[in-house]
Formats: sequence, C-alpha cells, structure tokens
Amino acid sequence: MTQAPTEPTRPTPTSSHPSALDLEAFAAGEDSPRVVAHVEGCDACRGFVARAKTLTMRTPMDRALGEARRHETRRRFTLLASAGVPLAAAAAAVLFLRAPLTTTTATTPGSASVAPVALAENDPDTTFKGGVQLAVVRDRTGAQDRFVGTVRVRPGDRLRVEVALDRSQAILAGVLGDDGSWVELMPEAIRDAGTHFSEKSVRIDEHRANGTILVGAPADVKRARDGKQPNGKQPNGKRADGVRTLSVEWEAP
Amino acid sequence: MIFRGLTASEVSEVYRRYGPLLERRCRLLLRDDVLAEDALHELCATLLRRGEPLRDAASPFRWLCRAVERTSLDLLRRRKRVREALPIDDVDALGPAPGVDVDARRAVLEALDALLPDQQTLAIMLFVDGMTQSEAADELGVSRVTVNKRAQELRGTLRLRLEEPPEEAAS
Repeated sequence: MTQAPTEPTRPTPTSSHPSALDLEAFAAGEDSPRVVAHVEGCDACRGFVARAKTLTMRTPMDRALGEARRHETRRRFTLLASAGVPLAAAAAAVLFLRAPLTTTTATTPGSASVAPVALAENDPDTTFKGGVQLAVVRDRTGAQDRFVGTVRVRPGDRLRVEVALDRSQAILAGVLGDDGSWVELMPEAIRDAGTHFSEKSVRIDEHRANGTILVGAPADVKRARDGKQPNGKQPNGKRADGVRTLSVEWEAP
Repeated sequence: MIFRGLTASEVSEVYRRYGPLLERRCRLLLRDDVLAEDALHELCATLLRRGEPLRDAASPFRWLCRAVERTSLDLLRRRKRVREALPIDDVDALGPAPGVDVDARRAVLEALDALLPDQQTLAIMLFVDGMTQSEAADELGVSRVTVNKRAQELRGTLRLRLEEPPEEAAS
C-alpha cells in the first residue's frame, strides 16, 4: 500500500492553466488543441502569450551561431588530431596480432610472436578507456601555440589547458610542479562532452621549474599527485592511473 | 546511439523561432547575462553536433528547454563561487505564467545553485514551469508518488526561504 499524495497535483491549487512551458511553446507557434482551447477562454494566459511573443533577443543570432561553429570546428580538429595516433597504433596492433595466428609457437620458438598470441588468447576483449584528450595552449607575448606533447616555457608565458571529453564526466585539471606545488586550472566539476578550456591560466614566473599538467577524474588526479615519482616525471601524454598528463619543461634562454 | 547534428540553417531557424524564449530562460536560471550568453552558445554547439533528435521531438520547445536547462545548470555549478546573481525582476521581463506560485518560483530561482542536481530539475519543472506532478513524473520517467515525495522534500528544503520575512521587513 502506498500513501496517497497529499500535495496538490499542480503547485498552486487554483491553477487549471497550462504550464508555462506549454504557454511559451504556444507563443512560439507550437499548437496544441488543449492549450489553444484554454488560451481562447483565459484572459490571463492570453496576456502571458501576447507578452511572450513580444520578447526580443539580446544576443545576435550571427554571434551565437558563429561562436558555436567555431567551437565545433575546434572540437572536431582536436578529436581528429588526438584520435589519429591511437587509431593508427590500434591498426598496427591488429596487423601485428593477426599475423602470428597463422604460425604456431612451436615453429618459431623464442620469436616475438609468442607473447602477443598468448595475450590475445587470454584477454580477448579489448577495451578502450580513453575519453579525455589533453592539449595545452601557450600564450607567449600574445602569440598562442597549441601543444599535445611537452610544452617548453620561459618567464612570462601563460598556459591554459584544453580538454576534450567524449562523454559527460567529472574532471579536475592543474599543474603539479616538481617542487610539489599545485596550481588548479579547472576546478572539480561535471562537464559535458565537448571541448573545454580551463577557467584559469598559469603564468610562468622567473623561478626555474618543471612540472606536469594532470587532467582526469578528481580522485584519480589526487591519487596521481600523491603518487608522483620522486624525480617529478610522469609518462608524457599517457594515461597514468586514468589521468592524462603533459610535461612542462623550462626552456633554456 | 550516435546522433548527427543539425545544419547551420536549421539551427538559425531554431534560434529565430525560439531564441527569445530560450534566452529569457537562460537569464532566469543563471541570473547572469554573460553566463546566459555562454549557455546559448553551448546550446547552438550542441545542436550542430548532435541535435538530430530535435527533428522528431513531440514538442521541440520542450526539448530545447531541457537542453538549455542542462547547460545552464552545469554552468551554474561550475561558476557558483564567483557569481553575483542579478535580481530576478531584472532578468525576467515576462514574469511568471498564470497559475504559477510566485513565492515558490522566486524561492526556487534564488536557491537554485544550493539544490542538488535532481532537486534542481524537479524544482524547475514544478515551481518555475508550473507543470503538474503527473507531467513531471512522465518526463522524468518515475511514478507520481515518487515525484510527490521528492516535491515534499523540496518544499521542506525551501520552506525556510519561503518563511523568511522579506528583506525590507527585516531591516
């Protein structure tokens, strides 16, 4: 048995009006027989619809659409650029793994084909755990360059990260200095699929320092920060425990 | 499932037809003109990228409202620490629809960034959009009893705000 709801079915008991969404849809030209019939006989709703029809845009269409198209072009370029290398590697791996299947380990003892064949048999379901792509934009005296590998810096440079996601997920990004310092670039938040630029940038000062940019799920990033190798190195561009990394190196003057 | 995007001309048509109402919705939820513009840009990008379902939507406006709402709430979560909200009256030229509880609507809009994600969606449906619990239940894919229970919890969360005296009276 379930207790019957005691709340009114609509937030206000006196309301038999269509919802605001229905009235606004009607104002935008979406006809619904129920809404049409109600609006014809209701002064309040007719007034609301009439006012809704007089609303005007503050943001010009060209600007919104232009911005969206630029954003989309950037995203596609990023995904294409970042997907190219893994796809090529995957294709090479498939060719490499397929070839030994025709030759047995007995006929080629000690050859390099033994391990891959054994792996293929033991782990047939290959999964791809990607989903986060990382690039960094370096601003040097107004000139901007984009890097997907090591970025070299000198005093005065500004760095901003660009993160492409293939699905909505919580991420955190920042720069971990070799001295253990941490500068957050993208606060922990759930972000939609698409390309995101960090809200903050980091400015390189006069103190010589190297570091690593980390991006990933907040818990993974925190774990990576805690578990960083003593020499400050992280595998550049690789997923270290689910975290994307990119090295920042001091550029000799 | 992979969706395709709309063409630029389709997006332009969406913008022309629904733009003013969607912009007003963004401003109402975010109470920040810059964020509202960002939300509209993101909506356009989403339509260009994977807006195909809009073509078959029973109510395109409702589909767009939910899309722009997700974007807006995401922006709200990301920026809440540095945000100074505009007064509701300054961002809503249209005002509440007939039948919507004005006080509850104001309380929801003012407390939106303090609510949990599930609460935000339901609060918007019930107290901003003025939907019935049945309509909300249909759209959320849950029972009306569940919606009713969550609505009562929501009212409990908002009660303090609703019962707070207006600032003028307090000062």
